Amino acid sequence: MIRFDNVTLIYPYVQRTIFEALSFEVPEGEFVLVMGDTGAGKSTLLKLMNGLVPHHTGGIFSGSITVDGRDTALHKPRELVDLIAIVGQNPALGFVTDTVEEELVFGMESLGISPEVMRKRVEDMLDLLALAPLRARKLASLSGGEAQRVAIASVLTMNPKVLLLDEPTSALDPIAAEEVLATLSRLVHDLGITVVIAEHKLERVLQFVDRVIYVRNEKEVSIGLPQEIFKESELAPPIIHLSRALASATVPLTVREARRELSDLANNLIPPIRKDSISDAKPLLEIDELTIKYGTTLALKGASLQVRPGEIVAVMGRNGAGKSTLLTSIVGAHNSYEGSVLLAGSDPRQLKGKSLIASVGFVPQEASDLLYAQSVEEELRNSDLDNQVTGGTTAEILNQLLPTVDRSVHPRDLSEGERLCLVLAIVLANQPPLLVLDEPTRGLDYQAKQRLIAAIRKVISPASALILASHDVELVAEIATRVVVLADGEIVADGAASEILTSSPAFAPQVSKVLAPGTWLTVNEVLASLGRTQ
Amino acid sequence: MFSQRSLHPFAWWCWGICLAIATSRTGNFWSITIIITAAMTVTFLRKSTDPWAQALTIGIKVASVALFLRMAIAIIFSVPGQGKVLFTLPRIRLPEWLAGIILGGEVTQARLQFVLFESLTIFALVISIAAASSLANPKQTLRALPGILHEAGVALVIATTLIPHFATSIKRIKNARALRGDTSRFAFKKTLVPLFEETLERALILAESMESRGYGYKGKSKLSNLPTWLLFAGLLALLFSVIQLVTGSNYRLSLLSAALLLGLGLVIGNSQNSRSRYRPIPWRKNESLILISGVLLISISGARLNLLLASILFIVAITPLFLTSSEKSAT
Repeated sequence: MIRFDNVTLIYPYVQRTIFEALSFEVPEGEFVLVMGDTGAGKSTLLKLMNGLVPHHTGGIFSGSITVDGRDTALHKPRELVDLIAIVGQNPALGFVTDTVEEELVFGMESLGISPEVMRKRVEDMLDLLALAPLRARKLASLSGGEAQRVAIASVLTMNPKVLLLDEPTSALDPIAAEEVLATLSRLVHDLGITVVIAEHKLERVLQFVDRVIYVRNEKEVSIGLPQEIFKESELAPPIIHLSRALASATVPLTVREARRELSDLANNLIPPIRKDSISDAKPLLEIDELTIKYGTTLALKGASLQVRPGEIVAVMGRNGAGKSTLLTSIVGAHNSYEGSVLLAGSDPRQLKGKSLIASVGFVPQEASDLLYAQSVEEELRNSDLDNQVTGGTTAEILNQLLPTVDRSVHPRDLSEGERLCLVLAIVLANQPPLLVLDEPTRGLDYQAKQRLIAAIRKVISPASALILASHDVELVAEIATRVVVLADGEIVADGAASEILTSSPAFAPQVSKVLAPGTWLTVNEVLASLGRTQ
Repeated sequence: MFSQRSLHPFAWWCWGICLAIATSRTGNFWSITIIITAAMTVTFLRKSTDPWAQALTIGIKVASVALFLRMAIAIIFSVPGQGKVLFTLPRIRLPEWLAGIILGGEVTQARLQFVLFESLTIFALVISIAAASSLANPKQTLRALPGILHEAGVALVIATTLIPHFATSIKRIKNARALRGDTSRFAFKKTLVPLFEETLERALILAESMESRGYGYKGKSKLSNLPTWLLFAGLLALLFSVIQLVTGSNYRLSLLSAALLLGLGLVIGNSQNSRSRYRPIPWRKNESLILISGVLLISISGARLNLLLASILFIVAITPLFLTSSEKSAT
């Protein structure tokens, strides 16, 4: 369907080759996963397929790419819309109109499709993607999963044969992600569309995938069946690491397969031993019966939470459950509420400037909001001034988290993971006793996540605590000591990570799904039980 | 006769423009009052709850301020003239270099009447257009534009939807600055640099998304630039006729050629256009009736007014009221 023939690409004003002499072919009617480290060029690969690169970005391009026999070098992306469609990383930013129905017809109107056909296709798409109840809704009012489905529908109305998606589930909670992926899988099975997705969270997509494109570096791009690729790839979901740890000969792709193959192997292992982390020190944070309203909607309904030193608390729940509201109330972002928030005994709304950042370090969802200098070096210097610490303190912390970073580059040019480390270093310069992270793993690959986990372990001392909101079950399983589950603005569960995560099907990590009723959460715990350490 | 659906937006615009033309044609104080009353009645009975429906309320405020200012200026700066003197303000002597302007002095009835009539005409013009814009859905108006103007319409829609995003971005960046311990009220670099970066990034993403959804798709054949040049020439002619109108020369020829050029450009451009339209709002009998009522209003607005004609004028002006229902449309 898509054929790459000796493709080489260099972006303008960049020394590095993005791809060199790539040749492969994507077969028709399959669900294809593109995986690779951040910055390996997954997004670029997708954009090459529909011609956005180099038509839209510029760059030196050689070789040829054909989609269903049509050469992308000879056709602009707008002339290929009836053949190949792309949905970007953040679909809400790509919306042109303002209601669902208008968005669905935008492309068709440009193509000049007759009104009767348009009418029919819109109804078909609304049914196919279960969007009928949303047809008159404003796009701005959609949740993440709904927006993703509308974006998919808005390109499918043009009847493409290939659908490309760039990280369709990275911003979604596990349940919404499951919905989107199931929809995509249905498109492949029922309509015979070729679906190509780039995704970091392999554990979510692997069960649907027919074929994998692994982008190792600019020269090595391999395509193959998942069993072949995952036999030795560094990059793999926990389920594969588990099967390797238990020395299984097969490569399980789904939890079902893994249960069949592996549950016996774990039978005679000693269950994991966990330290009891409950301390009776004075709480760093006390939230009592907190109720916050946005207009007429209640974002939080009487939530109570206490965080003591030494704890790592993960706040989980659907998109819109009130996680961000809970976290931002800790830094006094909401002026009017009922109940109380006490940060080391004082109201965070009263804390301003230096006294605020001395008691809490907060990394918002868009971590780069905190950055405004023109280079990493300048950013570090500003941070020393802002935090009133001796020169070089921030640089020293960054050095611990990320020893290899080039300080002369612009913060925007860092990878997502590197940028997060920079922001963490800035926030930590003041050594705040409480650290708050809102969705830290958006767009992070496994390697960056490991780096983040190592960084968190390094900076959380017995005297400090961390609260993080996350959809990433595997990250939470790895570091959290306690999990709080929010639903509809209420705290519905609060307890030790091992209890909460294993008891809920939506939030269970892969390892615990496979080894249930065993209580292991992560591959590392299994390795520890085996007497090995990673 | 009653229709549940919303009228074609152009019908509302035709009605508003006809009211405005009738206003400028009539020389009668009472006719203008009737037109203003009719415009307000129809709008307040038929407007929806959508944000643009506030246009008339805003229009009334703006027009009232203009009316008040015009009257105030007419009273304070006196112009020597004949007629019955109503009252006299104390005269203030201005310095030499302001000779020719008189502050205070006699205020005559004739002048006051003239100014009141003049400002009322402006008031009525503003109200007519404001009424149309609060009744016609702006998004539907843009969608109903001829295909050749569609791209400009899309640009406008995008611009209007981006403004709320701006506000939220600024708020987010401000919060982020507080999180770095920065409490200064406004920091140019620290607020605007991230804002611009973000806006630029969004614009690129949006452009990519539009490109990959066929925006600007022109079909196979090579298109000529003729319509663009015709429209450009038409606009130039229009500008020229406006200059002639203001300077008092004969503007009819240039206005006619402007209309011809613009019309030709739109027709040729549309015939080349390959876009299609999803669920367009049809132009039906009711819309035509409103257009006819507007033309009728213009033709009788010049006549001498008596009680019968005044009531006819009012009924003709509120015709849309009979052709639509008060069912408030959500779209």
